[in-house]
Formats: sequence, C-alpha cells, structure tokens
Amino acid sequence: MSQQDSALVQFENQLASLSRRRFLKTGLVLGTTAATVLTLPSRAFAEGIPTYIRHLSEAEYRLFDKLRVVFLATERFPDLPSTTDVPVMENLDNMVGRLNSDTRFLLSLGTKSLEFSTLYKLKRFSSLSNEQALAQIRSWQSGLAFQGGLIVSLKTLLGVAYWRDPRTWQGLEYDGPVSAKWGIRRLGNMPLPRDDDEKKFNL
Amino acid sequence: MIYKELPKEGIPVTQARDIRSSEDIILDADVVVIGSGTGGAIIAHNLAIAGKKVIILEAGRYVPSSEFTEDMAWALENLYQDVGTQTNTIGDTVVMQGNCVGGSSVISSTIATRAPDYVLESWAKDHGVEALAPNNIYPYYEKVERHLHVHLNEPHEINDCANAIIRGCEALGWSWRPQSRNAKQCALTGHCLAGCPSDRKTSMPVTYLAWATAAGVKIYSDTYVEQILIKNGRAVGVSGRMIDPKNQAVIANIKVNAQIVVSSAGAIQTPLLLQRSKLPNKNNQLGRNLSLHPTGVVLGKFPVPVYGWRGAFTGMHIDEFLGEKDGKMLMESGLAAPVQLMAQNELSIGVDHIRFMEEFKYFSALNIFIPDKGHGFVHWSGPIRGGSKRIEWNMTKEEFALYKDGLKRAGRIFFAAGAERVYLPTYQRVQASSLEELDSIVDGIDYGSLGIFSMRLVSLNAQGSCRMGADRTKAVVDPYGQTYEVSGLFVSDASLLPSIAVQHPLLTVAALAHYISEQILTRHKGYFWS
Repeated sequence: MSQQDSALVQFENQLASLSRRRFLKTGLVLGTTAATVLTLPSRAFAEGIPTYIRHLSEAEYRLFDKLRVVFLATERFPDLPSTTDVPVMENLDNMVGRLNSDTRFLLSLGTKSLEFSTLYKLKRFSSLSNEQALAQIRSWQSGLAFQGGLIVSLKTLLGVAYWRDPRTWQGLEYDGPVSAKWGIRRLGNMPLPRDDDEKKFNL
Repeated sequence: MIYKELPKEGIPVTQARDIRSSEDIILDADVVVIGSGTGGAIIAHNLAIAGKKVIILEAGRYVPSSEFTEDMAWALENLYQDVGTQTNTIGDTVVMQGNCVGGSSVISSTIATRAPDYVLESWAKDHGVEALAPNNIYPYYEKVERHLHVHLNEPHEINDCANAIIRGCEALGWSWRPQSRNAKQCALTGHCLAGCPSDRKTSMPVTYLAWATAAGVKIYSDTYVEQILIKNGRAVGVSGRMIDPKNQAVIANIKVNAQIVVSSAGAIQTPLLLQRSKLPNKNNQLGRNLSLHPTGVVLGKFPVPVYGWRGAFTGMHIDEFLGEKDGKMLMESGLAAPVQLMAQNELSIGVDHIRFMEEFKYFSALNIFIPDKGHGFVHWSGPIRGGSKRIEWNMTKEEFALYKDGLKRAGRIFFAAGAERVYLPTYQRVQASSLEELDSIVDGIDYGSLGIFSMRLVSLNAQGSCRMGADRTKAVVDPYGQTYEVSGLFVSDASLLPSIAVQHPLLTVAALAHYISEQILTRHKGYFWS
C-alpha cells in the first residue's frame, strides 16, 4: 500500500469515528477528498521528497517520479544505467529550477492537473500501478490536444534528464564530447579584418 | 590605427560578478547597443572603428569558449534563452534563441546563406528598401562572407547523415547543394549547437566582438535592459539592471546615456523592449509580422549504422523546393546529440522508447523549414517589472498543408535512399515503413483546432517583428534602420526583415548591420555632437 493509500484510509477512519451515519460519511468523504488531497500533500508526504530536491513541489516530484519509471523503462537493457544510477530526478530538479517564471507556472499547473486528474479512481496518478499509469498516459496521449502536448513536454524534460548523462551514451555508441579526446587545438580569436573599406570612416 | 591589442582568445567583458557595489552604475557613450549577437556586434565594431565610444549591454552571461562542454544539455542551460524552453503561448512550438555574449551566433549551426534573389527583389520592390535589392546588398554579403570565412562545404565536410539524403535526392532527381557555412578549419566534431570550443565557428565572440573590444568597445553581460530612455521623441539612453545569473539577484541598476541607441536583441526581445519603452506604435505594427520559420525533423532509419551526428553538423540542403513558385521550402541535413531527439521527435514510452533510442546510430535527419507568412505577434504583457512576453503564433491551414508536403518529400528521400522506416515529427506517434504507408499516414494527420499540438516544431529563425519598409503605415523601421517613431533609435537584428528570408537569416542580418552602420555614420552623422 502506498503512502497515499494509507493516508486516505486513516482519513476515512477518522471520519467514521465522527459519525456512523452513512450518508454523512459518504458526503463528507466525497466532498472533502478533493480539498484534502490538495492540501494534504505538503504536510503528509513532504518527508517522501529527497533532500536534494530543491525546486519540485511534492505533487510534481511524485508525478515525475512515476513518469520516470514508466517512460524510461531501462531495467530490461543491461547496457544502460538505471534511472536511479543516473540522477534523473536531481537533474530534472536542477533543470526546473532554471525555468523562467512563466514556464515554471505552466509546468506547475500542468503537473497538478495530471497528478490529480485520476481522483475519480480515488487515487492520484502517482499512486497508480505502473501498468495503470502506462494505460493512463496512453489515454492522455490520444485524448485532448492539451493533455497530449503536456505529456510530450514532461517526457522531453525527463528524457533530457536521463540521456544527458554520459553513462547512457555508450549504449547508443554516441561519442559525446570529442575535442579534448581528439586533441583539437583552439584557434582563438580571428585576426583583425584588413579590408581597406573598413578605414574609410576612421575619423 | 584604430585597433589596440586583440586578445588571443576570449574577450574582456564586465560581468555581474565583477560589480562590487550595489550603487547605480551610470555610463556615458556615443552609442549603446542592446544585444551582442550578429546585428549588435557588427554595428558596435563598425561604429567603434569610426571613432565612436560604444557600449554593448547583453542580457545573457559571458561563457568563454574554453568553457564550452560539447554537451547539449549543458548548452541549453547556459547559452540558450529560457534554458531552451521559450515557446509560443500555446506551448507547441519551441523558439530557440541564444542568450549569451555573442547571442545566437554562438549556438548557430554555422549555416551562412544569402536570401534568394526573389526575396531580396521583393524587399526592394514591395517594401521600398532599395538597399536590399540584390545588386545593392551583394557587396555587404561579400564583406561578411570574407570576414566570417563563409565557404561551401567541401566533400570531407559532408557527413553520412547528409550523404544518405544526397543518395535519396539523386535517386529522385532532386537538386541539392553543399551547405554554405561560417567556419574556419572546421574540426568536424558535430557539436555546433552547443558552441564551438575550438573557436572554429566564426561566431561573434571570436570575430566582430573580439575586434570591437580591440577598437575600444566595452561589453557588459548579465545586463537586462528594461527600457530605452526617450526624451522629446529622441532616444537618449537606456536603463536596466545587472542580474546575477546564478540566483537572479539584482546586483545594481544601470543607466547608459547615449546619443544613439541600437536595439539588436533579436526578433523576440527587440519588440518587447520597444513596447516596454512605450514606443508610440501609431500604426500598430510593433511586434507584428513575426515569422518563426518553423522546422520539424524527419528521421530516416537505415539498416546499417549511419552515425549521423559525426562530422560537420550540417552538410547539405535541398534547393529543389526553394524557388518562389516551388513552395519556398528549405530542407537540410542535421542530427545532433541524443537530447535533440527528446526535443523534436520521439513519442514512444517505456521499452519502446529505449528501443527507439538504441536506433540512434541508424538515423539520418532531415530538417524541414516552412516559410510562414508573418502572422505571428510578440508582445509584452503586464508592468515593465514583473510582466512577461507572449509569442502568439500557430500554424495556418495553408502552412500545415505545405508542411505535410514536406513530410512526404522527406519520406520519399529516405525511402529512395534505402531507409527502412521514417519517423515523423507530430504530436501523434507516427512512423511509416513504406511509401504507401507514408502517404496515407501523412494524409491522416489532422489539423485539429487551429493546428494546435499537431506538429512538433522548433523555431531557429524568428524574424520580422519590427520590419523595415518605406511605408511608415506598415513598417516600424525606415529603410535606413531607424525607427519611425523615435529618432536616434536604430534596430539591427532579424526583426528588421520585411518578410521571411526563406534561408537562414544570419548572413542577411550581418549584411544589414554593415549597411545600417554606414547609414548611421553618413546619413545620421548629425546625431553625434561629440
């Protein structure tokens, strides 16, 4: 059971202790679940975020971490490092920290919309099983243009966070940086231009 | 001799870290240039060797080429505007732009081509800019080509990514040409888009900016210009802030008093700056007519390894469809690092994604550039401090149809060259294994609502947002480079282009910068009272 599941169960039990009246309990659960999941995260799950994460919120971290597992299924490929050997989430966090405020805001909005869009299943996206998450992503990809576009953007960020690591290049036979390896000499600045017409405005 | 000592490598730049006091910085100059890319560097150099005191203010950081890493992800974070995430408002088109000393010349693919004659003729005839007529602009092109070592690729500079495409073109009887590039003794590393660490790309920091500093130009990096100062309809300087690039903290306010102001911040930033400066904009043209010249990358997967990233980044272009009546479509070879595939192509997930990436060495890449019609609009929203930019652009149905033609052409080329599969840059997961499949798949790509999230596009050549022209009701800048609304305020960057250049604009911007600097020194010499 995930952290979130246990939190919901605990929350439901607390409600049950308040009243045994079935309709009240149901109403309260339905009416407050959305508000709860929107406010609980920072308190209930903050401890789930590694200390090296400085820019991602709890919801963003959870969403991206689930996407990491689903998007970058490296475990069947022995030539590739895992997505934990490569510090994908740390790389991602650093990249997000450099976004301008507008893009950062849109990312925040987009990630929250995806993370909480599965609430009708009484689960956040990050609490779905990997298989359920994969099916959900495919559904988004073939759904609204906005959702499909958002998924592409998130995948781009995660992909860059993984494939930027030199350890992933060997499996692709990608050479990476070569100038130092090849001993290429630096030319420095080009010599000054010698055009005669350059001088005609010399005052 | 106007030049003093030319540094062997690197250039002297005052950076935020050099400022020890938070007191306002107030400077005086004959000319202040905003932006250190191609348009700004050349103007600054030319005015400095004419004896003018010139200051360049650059919003981006200064990264000496000795620190370039040949790592695309690093480059995105350190050399590109908004970490390479600048997009249109919808978010489906990435607008790439350099954000460092040297601007986009640092991250360019080194393509240096003239605009086709029919474009130049149209600029002269339809927009009244006689100076841009072929015979008038050729001398400026020639000068820049000489200075930047522009040459046609020799056979050893055409890599196997390009050779695969050439095979396809020749099988189909389609015309192609070696790419024209600004590079000296290219080392064929293929890392152009991440900056050239051995200074073989003749970018501005190793050419005009270096020469400009030898002629006395002072460069300030990390300096974001908020406003052009205008007094009685005359530009008298600029104000802005020096910002620590590490934490975005404001280091100091800066003001430069100058007799002439030149905005060379590029086709996105220049109109934003002019809008923040409250340029009157009586004709409502400021920021309009923006072309993004969007490009998408089609991948051809071959049965044997191509190692398409090895060698010069771009080897050739197809000129079969470049003509005025042929669609003005530019297609060229070019494949960079694995992260490029993230930005432009790939939609598969999980195991499929990894398998796709493992095919990287089998790929050749063909970039398709669509000549959009200047229907974009860039504008500043909100207060000067705390406001933000908006790039309004989406593909029209006509452009969408043309783009689909391009996808089919690219697919034909790859299949004719022996590719076994073609990947298409859309927001749907689309690949074709045969010509028949290609046509049916491309025909099935839906324009949807306003073309939003239909094709995966990147813009490398934003242009036209402060266009030049003889008709002041339709243009922002007059045929000599000065804005109609404010005297003493000049523009020198790709925002000037009256309509899309069809080819990459770097060389045209450089030629225009030479022309405009001459105009400043002759037609407008009265502005200099010192």
